[in-house]
Amino acid sequence: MSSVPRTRPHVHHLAPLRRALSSCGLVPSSMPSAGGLGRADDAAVRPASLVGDAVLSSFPCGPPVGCPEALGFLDGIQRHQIVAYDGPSPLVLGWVAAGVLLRTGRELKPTMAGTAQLAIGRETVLAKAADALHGFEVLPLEPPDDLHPAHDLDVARGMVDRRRAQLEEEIGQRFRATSSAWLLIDGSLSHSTAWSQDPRMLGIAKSHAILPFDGRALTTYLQLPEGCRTSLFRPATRGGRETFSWGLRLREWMGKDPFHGLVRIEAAPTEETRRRASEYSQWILAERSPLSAPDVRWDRQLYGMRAVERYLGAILGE
Amino acid sequence: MRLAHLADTHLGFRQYHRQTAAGLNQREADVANVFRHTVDTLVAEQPDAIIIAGDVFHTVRPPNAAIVFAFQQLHRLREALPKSAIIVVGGNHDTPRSAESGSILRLFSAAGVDVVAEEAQRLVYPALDLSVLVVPHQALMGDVRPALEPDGTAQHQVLALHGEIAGTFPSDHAAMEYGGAVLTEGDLQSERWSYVALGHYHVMHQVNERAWYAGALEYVTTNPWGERRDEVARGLPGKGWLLADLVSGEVERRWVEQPRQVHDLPPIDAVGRSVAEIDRLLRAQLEAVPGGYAEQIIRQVVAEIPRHIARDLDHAFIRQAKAGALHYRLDLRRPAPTGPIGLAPGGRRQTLPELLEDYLRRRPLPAELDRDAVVAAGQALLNAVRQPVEEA
Amino acid sequence: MKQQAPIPPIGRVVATEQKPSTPHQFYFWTARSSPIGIGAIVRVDSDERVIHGVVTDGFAYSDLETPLDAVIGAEGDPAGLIDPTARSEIRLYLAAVLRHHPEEPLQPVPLGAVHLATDADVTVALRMDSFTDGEESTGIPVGVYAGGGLEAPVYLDADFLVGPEAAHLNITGVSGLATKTSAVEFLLTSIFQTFPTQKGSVAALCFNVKGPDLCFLDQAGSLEETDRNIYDRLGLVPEPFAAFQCYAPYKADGVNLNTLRTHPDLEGNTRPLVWGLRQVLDYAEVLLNRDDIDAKAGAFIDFLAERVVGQEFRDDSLRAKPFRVETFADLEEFFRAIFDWMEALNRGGEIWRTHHIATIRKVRNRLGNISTRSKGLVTDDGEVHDLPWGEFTDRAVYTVDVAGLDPLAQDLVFARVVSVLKEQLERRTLGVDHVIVFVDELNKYAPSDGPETYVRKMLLDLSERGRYLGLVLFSAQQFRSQVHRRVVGNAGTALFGRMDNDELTMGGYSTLSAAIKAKLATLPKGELMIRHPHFTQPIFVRFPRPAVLTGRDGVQRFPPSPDLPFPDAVARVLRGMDSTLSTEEIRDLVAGRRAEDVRRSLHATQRSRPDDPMAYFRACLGRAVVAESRDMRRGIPGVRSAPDPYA
Ligand SMILES: Nc1ncnc2c1ncn2[C@@H]1O[C@H](COP(=O)(O)OP(=O)(O)OP(=O)(O)O)[C@@H](O)[C@H]1O
Ligand SMILES: [Mg+2]
Repeated sequence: MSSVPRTRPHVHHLAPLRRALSSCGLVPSSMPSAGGLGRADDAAVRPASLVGDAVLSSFPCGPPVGCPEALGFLDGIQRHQIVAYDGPSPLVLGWVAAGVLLRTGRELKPTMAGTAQLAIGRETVLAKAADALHGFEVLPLEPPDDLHPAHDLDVARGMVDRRRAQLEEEIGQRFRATSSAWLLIDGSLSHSTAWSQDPRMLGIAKSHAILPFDGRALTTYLQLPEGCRTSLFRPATRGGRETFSWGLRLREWMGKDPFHGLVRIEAAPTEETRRRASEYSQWILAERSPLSAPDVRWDRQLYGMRAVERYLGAILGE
Repeated sequence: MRLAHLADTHLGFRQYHRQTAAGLNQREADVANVFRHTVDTLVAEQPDAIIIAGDVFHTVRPPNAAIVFAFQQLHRLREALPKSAIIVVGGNHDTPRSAESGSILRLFSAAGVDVVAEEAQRLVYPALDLSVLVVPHQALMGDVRPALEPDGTAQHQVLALHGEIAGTFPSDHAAMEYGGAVLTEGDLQSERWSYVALGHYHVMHQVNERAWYAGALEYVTTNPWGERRDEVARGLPGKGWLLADLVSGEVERRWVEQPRQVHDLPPIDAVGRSVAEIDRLLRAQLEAVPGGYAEQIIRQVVAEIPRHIARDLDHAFIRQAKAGALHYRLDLRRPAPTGPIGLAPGGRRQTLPELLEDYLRRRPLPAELDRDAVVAAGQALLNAVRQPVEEA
Repeated sequence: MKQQAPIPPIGRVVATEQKPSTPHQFYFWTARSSPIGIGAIVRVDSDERVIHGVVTDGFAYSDLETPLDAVIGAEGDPAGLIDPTARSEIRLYLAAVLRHHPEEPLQPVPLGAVHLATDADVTVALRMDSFTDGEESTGIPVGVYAGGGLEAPVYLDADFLVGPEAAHLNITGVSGLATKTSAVEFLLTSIFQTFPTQKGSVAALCFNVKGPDLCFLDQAGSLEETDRNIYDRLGLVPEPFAAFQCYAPYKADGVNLNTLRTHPDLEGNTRPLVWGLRQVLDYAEVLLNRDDIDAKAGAFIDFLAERVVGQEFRDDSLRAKPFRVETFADLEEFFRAIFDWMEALNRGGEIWRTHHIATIRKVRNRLGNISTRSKGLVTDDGEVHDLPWGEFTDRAVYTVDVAGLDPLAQDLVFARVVSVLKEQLERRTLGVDHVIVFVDELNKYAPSDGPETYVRKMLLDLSERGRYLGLVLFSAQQFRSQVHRRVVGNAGTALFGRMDNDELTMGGYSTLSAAIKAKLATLPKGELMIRHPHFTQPIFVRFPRPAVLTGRDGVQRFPPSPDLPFPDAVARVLRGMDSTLSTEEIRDLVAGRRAEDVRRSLHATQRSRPDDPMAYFRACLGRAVVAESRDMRRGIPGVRSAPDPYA
């Protein structure tokens, strides 16, 4: 047996190399987890404007403190499936669900949920399938640019996505109609006027496909230490409502990727938000536990959100 | 240490009509003579102790002659054996039913002998290293019997008792006197005594290793033939007394000579026989008596003899026999008139004794009674009434 | 048969590929707060079928995939912040099917709603409807099934408890916590109060093998409100046994009873148990297989039993007078005669009537050994006090207290009592139709290992054939695995109290789920698990404290009289029969008398129970005759000169 050369290539044995890179001034990291960045084709930098601070800075938020009040979690899920073709055109079925779990004490209780079933396809397809689609919301596919079936699917998926967002908003409104409890929303508040102005709502964005900064500010943003938040900023939205936002690092990221444990919080653009951003951050830090594993985005997915997803999954019969 | 044990002398016993020259009942004289002779032997033997285990007299109020005679004989013994213990035990015959009457026996302590007639007494003779628990008939009749236990330090522990040991007598009880107190062999606890001297049963008999009946000195019962039959069954030559050596444990039987014999001639079965034949047999059997039948006590049973045959027998000869013998009893039995009575389980007819036994086996009994003994007693009673002894 | 549920379901059946429903078991989930527990009886309603089951196992899950996630979540610090959200958790139960309706075709349990059982459900689930319905119910209440706020009576079927279909009962559990003895006492009460009249009469005979355990069954114990409620619920009256007798042998002194029930107030139904040679000899076998006694010795014992004891035995070569052997003392005399005879023969005196001298000596030693080791039980004087053979009465309990006896003597008592019971039941002369024999500490008398003993054979025989005769064995032990398999195996009904963990790992319990085992290992006092032929699964019930005084309380309330000096002990017995007697008087009476004689007289008096015990005793004992010293006297010469009247 000949001795193994020290420089032998090894896919997994990277620690010594990471140490060496660290002494070169880099931060040792690993690949982002699946979906960590959101969909790559949407990825973009849209610079935001800072609120108050001149440069983007980071602040320790203080220790995690559970929200002292009842706290709701709102989330939605969506599923789609091709069930038939008419020639090259698929018939896509979509299911969406949204709901709220309200936490009182330490127990999560389902308080509200809604679902919708969608049938999406070209007019011709829908016409043929009409008799079989009782109970489905039938959505015709906008006339496409080309006939590639993969494209049809993408468009349909986008429609399902929008329907989910719409359902989430409905549920959020219904919830707010009956309760003034704090509500955490999975994602951004900026799609909804009501949400963006709700003083007791926080949006938790896990996706970083759109980055609010570049240059040095981006480095600050991505190297935010665990338990710290950034200065407040106004995200640049395309036609969205104004919100105040800040980055929050839930977990130690060194040795992982820069997005590990990084969430972006949104809240109503108010003075109160400016005052209480650290307090809200403390609440959200407290939500790191229980861990939402085995969710792939366990590093930034809140346990409550995951619970809502599972609850909705069960409703959809998964 | 030698102990002479005699019993049931029955002085004053009278039977049959024969008289002596002096005008006394012949049997009464016989009984006295045997006793006198026995006293002679005792004087010669010089035993250390003499026990007369009950029934010295045949009755509670014996004839004067018997009283005087007894006194003389006991006195004679006392004089001849000054160092010996002489004990007289009260029996059922010589003890009055009611204690107040007082027993004649008490008189005899004046003769220098120890008389125990009412309560049980434990007589201790230090000089002889002898202790005798004397239990007269009377002592066994009360509610609380004396405890039959040895006591004290004397080497020789003797129990003298007048009574019946249940189960030791032959079932027909021919030689048994009724009215004795009944004990069980276990009551005696013989193994605890050097010797147990019993009186009441007229046939000499060893009850167990150490307990003996001496038997009577003469045939002093209404049925001497039955008693004789017991003796023959037990292989005994006749009557006597016992001389026990308390040290070696040996018991010697001393036979006394009877002035006359008791004969029960072989029964004659009259079935199919003529009058002449029966007459001939009667004569032949009588003449065959060893030593001749004169002055003897004889019974002849003739079974199954119908009235007409009996009427025609040779009565002259019979009268002659009765005159010659001291007593000739011709027992003529008629053919049995009674068939069986009752029904046995198999549908078979039961005889009266069977019926009685059957009943006694089933009847509830007090726990302390031994059922076998009750059955035996019942059978004995039945026998007594079934074969009545007609006094000739 | 579909039940109308007044209450909403507490769970739903789930069946997955991993955890499918089968005809004999199913899973269901419940809310976390559901009152369900191991042993709970549930009903599954589906459209076409109703299924009853009993919960045998339970599971709790959270969504945690690996413990690591919990550690990461808490950042490695167990004392860290409490999670603001409790992890979601679910409760899943496994139930074993008790009964399907309809029973055919037998199918897997469907996905239905699960309800807590009602009274009626319990009856159906345990198939008790088949024997408690109708005029001639044979149901014997054994306790209440307690679940979900319900207290439903549970019945055993007399036909399967006392015969003839099956019989016998065995109870296992650790000392003190398993309430074995208590359970049997309670069950006897239940049987006596509910045994159906058409099935005839029943009595119980309990061997007391431990301290004062079963000595106070005629005395009321203290009950709590909860106990009374259970009696009520079961339709029973909590009262001690009205007809009770305790039999105990004497101690070696022959006057003090060898039992802890010697308080003067209880003398009325505390009786001596004394046997003689006959009783012993008939069961000599008991003592033989303990040792190396061979067939030859057996033959000689048979000879003694058949030809010598209790009858006249003649052998002129031994001695002229026939032997009458009734007691050990007589027997000894008989043996001595044989040995004397052999000695007299000098040489060649080895065999007497085909029996070798060594055999004869061996038998003599063995029998002698019995009378020594059983002193107090076995008498030498022939007085016998026995159980009331032939006069057993309906619903009476007879305790035979052998706790203080030598093991050999205990065996003798077992063997003889059970054999006589068997004989008399066979001939139908016992006085009752059924007898329940209770043997505690069964592992001592029918152990799973060790040499074959007569007592074990007898218990085995009893367990196999007793039910045809009406002879029923109730037995208890701490460790079932230490008892002969077939003896416990033949018990139609088995009860389990709190169990020892080691015992639960033994093979016999492998069919029990880990959860049931865990429950058994922590079962509180007063709860039992029951196996009974009608119940397709083990069932847990609660039973009340027995209505009788426990041994421990008994000796406190009725402290045993101290052993008295011999005369005083005699006085106590006599005063028990006639309280007006004075101890002084009796003491005087027996002073200086031989102990054997006093004992004999006392036993005779006890046995006859005369109206005037003192007079009877005095008569048996006899008047002591005091010694009078005699000097030789000369008689008065008065009549010497008179002529001899008969000369
Ligand atoms: N139904 C009941 N409920 C509560 N406690 C009870 C019940 N029955 C009996 N006990 C208590 O349990 C204790 C033990 O009972 P018991 O003597 O019957 O146990 P055991 O299993 O026979 O013990 P051992 O093996 O030591 O003989 C007693 O002190 C009694 O008071
Ligand atoms: Mg016990």
